Amino acid sequence: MKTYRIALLPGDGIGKEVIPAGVQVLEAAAASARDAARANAGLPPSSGQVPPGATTGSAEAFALSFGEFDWGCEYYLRTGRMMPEDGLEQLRPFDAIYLGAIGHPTVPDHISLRQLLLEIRFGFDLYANLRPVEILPGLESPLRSKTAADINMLFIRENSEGEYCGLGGRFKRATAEEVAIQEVVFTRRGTERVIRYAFERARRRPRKRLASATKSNGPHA
Amino acid sequence: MITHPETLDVVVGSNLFADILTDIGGALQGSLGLAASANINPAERLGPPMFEPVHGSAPDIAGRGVANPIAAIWTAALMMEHLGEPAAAARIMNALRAVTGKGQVRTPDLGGKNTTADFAAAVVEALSR
Repeated sequence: MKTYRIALLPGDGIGKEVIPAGVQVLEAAAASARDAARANAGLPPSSGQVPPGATTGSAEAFALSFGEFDWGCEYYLRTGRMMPEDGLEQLRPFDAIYLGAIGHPTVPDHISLRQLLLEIRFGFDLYANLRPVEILPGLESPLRSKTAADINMLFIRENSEGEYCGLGGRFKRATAEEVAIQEVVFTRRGTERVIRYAFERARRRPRKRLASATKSNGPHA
Repeated sequence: MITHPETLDVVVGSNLFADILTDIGGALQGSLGLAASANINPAERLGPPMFEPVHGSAPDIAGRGVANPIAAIWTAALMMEHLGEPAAAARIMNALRAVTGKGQVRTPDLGGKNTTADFAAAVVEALSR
C-alpha cells in the first residue's frame, strides 16, 4: 500500500486550528479508501461498518504519515529565524507540505513572507500557484444571482518571479526628492512554463477555455 | 469576472495580477475562509509541493476554535489530487459539499455558531457514509 509522507506546518494563529481539522479529514479519507478497497476485494471493513453503496469507483488504498514542524512567527520570536537553517533539507524527503497560516502582529510581513513561504516556493521552484474559485452548495456569493453553476474558475498565478524578484530600493530616502524603484521580472522561461501549464489544465476541463490576465497595451515591450 | 463570471474557466496571470484577481475570487466565494491553494512545480521535482489555505493567521480570532476550516479541508483535497489520489480528493470535496449543502453546521464567518472542530467532525461523518 502506498504511504504518503506529509510535512505539517500549522504555523501561527488559526493555522494551528485549521490544520488539525484538515488532518482529521485526510485520515478519514484514507480510512474510507482502505475500507472501500477491502470491500472491492470482498473483505469486511477494517473498522466500523461500511453501508452498501459506499464503495464507489476505483478505490485505491493508501496510508498517510505525518511529520510536524513548529516553524513560523512564534518560532521566529523564540529563535530569531522563521525556520532552521537546514529547513529545506528537512522538508525535502516529504511528498507534500501542508501549511496552515503564517503571520504575527509583531513580526514584519517581509520577514515572515520572505524567510519561510518564499524560501520554500523559491527553494523548490514551485512556480505555479493554483487557486480554484467555486461556489459551494448552501453558501451564497455576494453576487446574489450567481450559483455553483455560474462560478467555477481555476486561477494559475505565476509564483516564482514578477514582483517576487525583490529587486528595488529607495534613493534619497526621507527627503522631498525620494524615489522608489521596484522592478518586476518576466523571463521567457518563467512565462512560458506557467502559460504552458495553464493550457494543459484548461485542456483537461470540460469548457477548455483559458484567459490571460495582462496589461499588454500599456508597458513598453 | 464580476458581471459575467460564467465566461471564465482557467485564468493565467502574473504574480501581482493574479494576486488581486484571486482575492476578488475569494470574496466571490463568500468568505476568505473558503479559498484554497496549491504551490506546485509541474515540470520537475526539486522538493515537495506546498498546499496552503489562502487566509492568514487571523490573530483577532485565533485561540477561540471558531476559524472556518473549509479552505484547509479544500486544500487537503487539492493535495490528494496532486499526489495522484483523485478518488480521495473527490470524496473529500463531496463530503465538504454535503455538509455546506445541508447548512446545519457553520462557523461564525458564515453566520453560524459552530466551532472548527464541529465542522471537521461533520465532514468526517459525511466521509464515513
